[in-house]
Amino acid sequence: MAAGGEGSYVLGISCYYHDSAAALLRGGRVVAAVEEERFSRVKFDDSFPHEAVKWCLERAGIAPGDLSGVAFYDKPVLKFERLLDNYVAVAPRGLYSFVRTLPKWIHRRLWVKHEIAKALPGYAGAIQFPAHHVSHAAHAFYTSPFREAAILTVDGVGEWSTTSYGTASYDKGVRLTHDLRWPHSLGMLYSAFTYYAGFKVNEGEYKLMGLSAYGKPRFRDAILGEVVDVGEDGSLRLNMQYFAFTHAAVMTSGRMADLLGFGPRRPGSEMTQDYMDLAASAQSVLEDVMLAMARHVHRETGMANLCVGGGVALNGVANYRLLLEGPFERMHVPPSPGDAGSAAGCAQYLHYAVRGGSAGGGVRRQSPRRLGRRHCLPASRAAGPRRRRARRRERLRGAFVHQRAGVRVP
Amino acid sequence: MTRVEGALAAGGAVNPRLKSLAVTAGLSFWFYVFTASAGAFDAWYLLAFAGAVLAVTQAFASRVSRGLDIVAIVNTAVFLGILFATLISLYGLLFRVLRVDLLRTRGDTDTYWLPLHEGAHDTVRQY
Repeated sequence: MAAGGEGSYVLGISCYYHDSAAALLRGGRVVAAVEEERFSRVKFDDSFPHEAVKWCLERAGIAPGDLSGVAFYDKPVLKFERLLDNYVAVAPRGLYSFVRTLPKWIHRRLWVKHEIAKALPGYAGAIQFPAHHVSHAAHAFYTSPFREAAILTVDGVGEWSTTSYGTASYDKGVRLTHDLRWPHSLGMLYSAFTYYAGFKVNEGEYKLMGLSAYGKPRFRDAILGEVVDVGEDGSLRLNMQYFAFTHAAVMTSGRMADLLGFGPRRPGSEMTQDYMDLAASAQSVLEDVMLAMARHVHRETGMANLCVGGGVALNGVANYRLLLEGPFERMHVPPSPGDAGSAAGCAQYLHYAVRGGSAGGGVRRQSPRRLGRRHCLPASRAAGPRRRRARRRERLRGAFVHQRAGVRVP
Repeated sequence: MTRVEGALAAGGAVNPRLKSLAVTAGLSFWFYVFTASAGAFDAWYLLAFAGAVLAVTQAFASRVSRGLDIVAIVNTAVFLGILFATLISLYGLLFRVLRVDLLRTRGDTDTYWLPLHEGAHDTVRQY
């Protein structure tokens, strides 16, 4: 089967941090995509997605030997290098974190190629590793209805990058030109306040977003004045004196409590107005920074379309403000912009950018809405009336994604 | 520290017979370190020690499975702790003396955006 051809199958895998998932593409189109948690019943499961891979292959009715390519969503060796550099930079602090983290790398994360090969008996091709933010960018762009667009990926951290921007087109592929690097991360800043409000990091961020509606942003100035330095172009630098995530199991240092006047909330304890106000402040800062970044990206790229990816793009409230107040004419956020969606993203990057695969019928010949749906949503497996209902739901979902993307809200 | 010991420390499930091998390797390493630093190293002693540990742990592998877990986890922690203290910390100190700001914690520019080299993200290797 020709690499990058219409009938070629490419499998994408993401795992080992949170939201493990697998996605299968046929001719660049997503035919199956699922998170491991659906099978394991472990919320945000981070284990290798054996069941998800199995399900994707079964759904397409193929064996591992029929795959023309396999991609993993980041570069584990580069990530390990960042980890070691981080420990060197914070030493002699970080001993406990080092002793807890290293075994996971030695046991699992550095052997991901071996693990993938073991999970796909009969597959003899290469296993490829696009960069973390490239996977996010590819998923954001190749699920969009645009022929070319500016890309903004905002995340916790990938290998080194925490945020990146650039452009993408079907002709030139994904080109990320600038980034912010570890530990200066908008995602980590938001996660730090998620932790502070008593929610789990990488899990409870949506709760902080919801909680923000109940508070007033009275800590906003303190955060912008002391905790994070934000440039006019949306670039940022965290004041690491307020954070501990580089060397400890907690996100913030004692100085944060001195600044705010209260300590981190114990999970499960009473929710007070202070934490609601803190959530509102964190949300306000996040939205303002995202908006400044979008304006900068618009100035730099001159594009009319924007595709947003990365875990921070799961923040629907910030996305809505970007759509409302941002400088771009059209905006697209994929249904799963976080790490789970990157399983599809790395496979899409392999199909389109590395192998020069077509858009499954050509971009020009299809309406943006149809193209977007072809690339976002797998077809339904259900039969009979269930299938019709499922197809109707998919149509509605597809329409929602692109109506939101295409229409400027007055 | 072996990969199996890493697996145990990471909470993975491992066959008890494999655990026995890993623990033997780990303890033999420390045996070598201690005897060599005391100037009393002899390959025959090491072989005898490793053989004895392997024989005992293989014979009672399933019964002492939990114990092997604990030995492996403690062994891993001690090994990594020493690695951190002797290598990572020394490098950290050196970088601090040389004023190398690995995490770019000093803010001295108008923008914090960093340019990516052309093609920096084009590779599909693991690194």
